[in-house]
Amino acid sequence: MKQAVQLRNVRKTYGDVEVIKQVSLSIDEGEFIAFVGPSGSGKSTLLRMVAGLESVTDGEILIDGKDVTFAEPSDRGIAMVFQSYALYPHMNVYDNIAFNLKLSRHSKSEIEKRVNEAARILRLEELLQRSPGQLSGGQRQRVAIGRAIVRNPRVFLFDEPLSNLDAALRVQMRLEIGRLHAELGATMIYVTHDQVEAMTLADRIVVLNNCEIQQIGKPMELYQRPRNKFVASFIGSPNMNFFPAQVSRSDATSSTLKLADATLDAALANRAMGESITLGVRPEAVVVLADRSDAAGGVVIEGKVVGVERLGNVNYAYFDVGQSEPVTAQIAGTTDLGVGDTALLGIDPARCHYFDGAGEALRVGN
Amino acid sequence: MMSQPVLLDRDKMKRAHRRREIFASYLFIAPYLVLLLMFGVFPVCYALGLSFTDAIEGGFYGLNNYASAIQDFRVPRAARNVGGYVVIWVLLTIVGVTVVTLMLDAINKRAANVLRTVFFLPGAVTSSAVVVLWLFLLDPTVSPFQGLYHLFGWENRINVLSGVGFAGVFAVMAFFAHSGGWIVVLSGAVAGLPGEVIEAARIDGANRWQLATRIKVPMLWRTIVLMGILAVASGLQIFVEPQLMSLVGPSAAQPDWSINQLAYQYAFAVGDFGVSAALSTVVLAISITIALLLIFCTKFYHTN
Amino acid sequence: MSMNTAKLSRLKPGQFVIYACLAFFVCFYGIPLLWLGIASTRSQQSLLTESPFALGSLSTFLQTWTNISSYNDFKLMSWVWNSVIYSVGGVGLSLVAAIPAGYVLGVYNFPGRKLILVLTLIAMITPSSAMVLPIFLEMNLIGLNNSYLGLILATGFFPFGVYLAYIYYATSMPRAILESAQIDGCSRIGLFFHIALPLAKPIVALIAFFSFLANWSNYFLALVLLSDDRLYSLPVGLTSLISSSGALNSGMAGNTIPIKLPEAIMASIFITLPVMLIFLISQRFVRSGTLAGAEKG
Ligand SMILES: Nc1ncnc2c1ncn2[C@@H]1O[C@H](COP(=O)(O)OP(=O)(O)OP(=O)(O)O)[C@@H](O)[C@H]1O
Ligand SMILES: [Mg+2]
Repeated sequence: MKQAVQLRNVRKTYGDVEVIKQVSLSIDEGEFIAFVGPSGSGKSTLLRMVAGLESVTDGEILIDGKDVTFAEPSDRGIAMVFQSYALYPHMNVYDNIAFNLKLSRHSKSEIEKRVNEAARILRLEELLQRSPGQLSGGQRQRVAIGRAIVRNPRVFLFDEPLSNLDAALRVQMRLEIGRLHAELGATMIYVTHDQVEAMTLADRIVVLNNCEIQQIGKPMELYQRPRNKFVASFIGSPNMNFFPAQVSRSDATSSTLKLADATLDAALANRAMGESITLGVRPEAVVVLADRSDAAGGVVIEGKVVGVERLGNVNYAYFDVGQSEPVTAQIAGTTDLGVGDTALLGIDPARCHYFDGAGEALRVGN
Repeated sequence: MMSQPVLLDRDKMKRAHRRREIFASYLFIAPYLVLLLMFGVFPVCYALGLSFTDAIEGGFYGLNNYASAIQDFRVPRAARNVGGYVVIWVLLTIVGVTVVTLMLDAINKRAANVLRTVFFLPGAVTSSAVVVLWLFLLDPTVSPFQGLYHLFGWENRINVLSGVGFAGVFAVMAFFAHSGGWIVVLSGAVAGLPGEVIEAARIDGANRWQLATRIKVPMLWRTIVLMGILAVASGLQIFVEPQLMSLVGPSAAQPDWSINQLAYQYAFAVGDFGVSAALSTVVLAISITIALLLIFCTKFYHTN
Repeated sequence: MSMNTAKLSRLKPGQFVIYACLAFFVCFYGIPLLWLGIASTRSQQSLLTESPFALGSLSTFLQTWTNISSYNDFKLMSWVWNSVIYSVGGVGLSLVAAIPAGYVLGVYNFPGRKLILVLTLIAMITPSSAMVLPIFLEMNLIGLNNSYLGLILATGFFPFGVYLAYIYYATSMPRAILESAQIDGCSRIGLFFHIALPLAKPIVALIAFFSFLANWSNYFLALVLLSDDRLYSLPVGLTSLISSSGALNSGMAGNTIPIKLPEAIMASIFITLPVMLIFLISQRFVRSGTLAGAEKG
C-alpha cells in the first residue's frame, strides 16, 4: 500500500533538551493512527512537526513520498484540528470554513459548493451564519473539522480534539470522527490522552514515552502483547498489576518463579538463576477464589480488601497483598466483598505477562 | 557516506528559513524601531554627548557643564523644591488613592462605579488646562472654594499660594488630574483579589477594617509600590505647573522652580545647550535608573 | 424588621466615616469641573463679585464666544486645527508603528527582541517630559523643530502603546488560531492583516485613545518645539493667549484685548471638551482597557 506519511529518524531538540529522539514511522494511506502517551511525552511535538508548525532538528518527513521537512504548513496538504478549536472569532461559521479556499483563490461557486458539502457532512447547515461565540463546544469542534474537510487534505491531524468536551459529547463526537474516517477514507493522525478513543478509532496506535516510540501496533495487539512494561501499564484500565519475582529454577522449556509467598511455573526458557522478573497480570485475570483448591494449578495470593468500586456493569476490588501498590481484580457483581475482608486471589500463569529487569517483555513459550 | 552534502544542504535551508523569519519580524517592527532609535535612544545619547561639549565655542568640555550647573545657586534650590514636591505628591497619591479605593470597595457597587467615573473625569482635563483651572480655583475672589480660604483669612491668590506652599499646590493639582486613573487601576486590582481568600478571612472573623488593613492592603502591596515608584518618576519631571504660574503675573511667577524649568531656561533664555543638556542628563539618569530598578529588581514587568 | 435594625446598626460610625470621606472627594473632583462649566456663561463682573455658582446668561455666553472668535481672526480656531493635525498625525503614526511592533514582539522570537522590549519598558516608565529637552536638542540638530512633521514624528513614538499591544498579543492571542491560519495558507503579512489585526480591534482603540489623550494635551514638547505662533497647538496657544492678554493677572489692568476671565474659561473648556466627551462615551471600555493594560504592570 502507498505510504501517506513517513518519518525518518526524526529528532527534535529545544536547545539542549531532547524532546523527540530518533523517531521513524510509516503511515499507510487511509490509515487512522493514534498517538498516545503520558503528558509531556512529545505527542503534540511530533504531530506539529508533521504539520510544519515546529521545525525538525534532524531527519526527514515525507508526505505522499515528497520530502516536506522544510515546506510551509500550507504547502503540505495537511489539515489540523486543534484542541482549542482555534476558530477565527471575527468570522462566522461559513467564513471560517471558507477561509482557506478564499486564500487559495477558488471561485465563489466552488467555495460555496465545498462549504455546503462540508456543512452537510457535519450537519452544520443551520449554523453557517452564526459566529463561533454562539456555538456549543461540540458544534465548534464540528466547525473546526469542517474547516479541515474543505481543503481535501491528504492527511488530517488532530491534537486532542475532544478533550475540551464533556463525557457524553465526547462519546458522540468520537463516533462522528469514526464515521467521518469511514466516509472520507482519508489518512488521519490523532493525538489523545484517552485510551478509549485510541482503542476504538485507531487502526494502529503509537505509544510514546520519554520522547521515544515504545510500541506501534493494532489496538488489541498492544493490549495482548505489550512490548514492555510501560506499554503494559499504559494501555488498559484499570492498570495491570505487577508482582516482583525471582527465577529459582530454569530449563529449556520452563522456569519457576518465586513470588513473595508463592511460586509459579512459567513457560520461560533458559533464564538465569536469581534473575529479577516482573509478573504482570491484568485485573480481569485476577480471580477471587472461594477456596484454595479452586486454584487449578495457578498461584494463590492472600489479600485484604482495601476498596471496592461497583460501576454496575463491571466491579473492581482492590487488595493489599503486602506490596506498595494494591492489587486490582475485576469481580463479579454477585461477589460479596467488603473493606477489611480477606480473600484468596488466583492467578493463571497462562494469562501472565513477564518482563525482564529492563522492563522488556519476555516471550512466552517457544 | 553521502551524509556530508545532505547535511550542508539541510543547514543551508534551515538558515535560509530562519533568515526569512527574522527578516519578516524586522519588517514589521521597522517603523517602531526607527522611532525608538530616533526619539528614545538617540536623544539620550545626544544629550549625554552635548553635556560634555562646550556648546558656545564647541569642543570637549569635560565636566564643566555639570560644574557650572551645580554652581548655579538656583539648581540646589530647585532640587529642594522638587524633592519636597515629590514627597508630598507621592504620599498624597499612595494614601489618597489607597484609601479612596478601599472605601469604594466597601460601598454599593453601582454607586462605586458612578463615583469612580467622577474621580476619573479630571484626567480628561489637559495638563495645561488643569493649571489654568486651578489658577481660578486658587483665587479667593472667584473660587468655588472661597469659603474655605476666607476661613484661613486668605484674601488673594498670593495669600493662598504662600499659605499652602507651592509644592503643596502643585501636588494638589497633579493629584486632581492623575489620581482618578490610579483609583481605577487599584480598584481593578481589588476586584482581582481571590474572592475565596477574602471570604476565608471573613469566616475567620475579620471585620471590614481588619479586612482592609490586614488582608487587602498587603495583597495589593505590589500595585501600591508600583504606583508610588511611577509617581516618584513623574514627580521629578515637574514642569507645567510651576511654568504656568507666570500666567497670573510676575508676583507669583516661578520660572526657575524645578530642574526641568532650569534646563528649559538654559536652552531658551541663555542659549547654553551644554548646561541644559547636563541638567537634562541628570534628570534622565534618575528616571532611567528608576525604570531599570523596576524592570530588573522587581518582577513587575515580565518580559515573557 | 430585624433586617432594618441590622442595617441601621451597621451604618453607625464606620459607614459614616466612609460616606463623609467619599463625599469630600466628590467635592474635590466634581466641584471644579462643575464650576468650569457654569463659569463659561458668566461675565467678568459676575465672576469677580457674585457667588461662585451663580448662573450666567446665554447672551453673556454668546458675547464671550464673539470675543474669542473675533480675536485676531479667530486665531484660536487655527490652533484647534493645528491640534487636530498633530493629534491625528501622532495617533496615526503611533498606531502604524505600535500594533505591528507589539504583534511581532508578542508572538515571534528573533534576535534583539529582548533588547527592544527592555528599551521599550524603559522609555515607557521614563516620563515623557524627561525626554523633551533632549528631543529638542536633536530636532534642532536635524532642523525639524518648528514644523508639523517634527512634532508628529516625536509624538508618534509611543512605547506605552507598544507595551499594550505586546501584552495583548503575548497573553490573549491564542497561538492555535495563528497556527490554524498558517495551515490555511496565510503568509506572514496575511496573518497580520487577516487575523492578528482584526482580533486586536479593542486594543487598537485603546491605544488610539491613550495616544490621543497624550497628544491632545501635550504641552511641554509642543512649547519647546514650536516657536511660530501659527504652528501652536491649542494648549500652547491657550497659555500664550492668557499670558499676553493678562486675563488672569489682576495686576495687569487697562489693556484693550477682549480676553478676560470668561474668555480664558471658555478657551479652557475648548481644550477639555473633546477629550471629556470621548472619555464619557468610552469610559466603560477605557476603564476595562486601563485595567487590562495594568494587570500585567
Ligand atoms: N518551546 C519549548 N521549549 C522547551 N521545551 C518544550 C517546548 N515545547 C514543548 N517542550 C517540551 O517538550 C516535551 C513534549 O511536549 P509535548 O507538548 O509534545 O507533549 P505532549 O505529549 O503533547 O503532552 P500533553 O499530553 O500534555 O499535551 C515536553 O516535555 C515539553 O516540556
Ligand atoms: Mg499535547
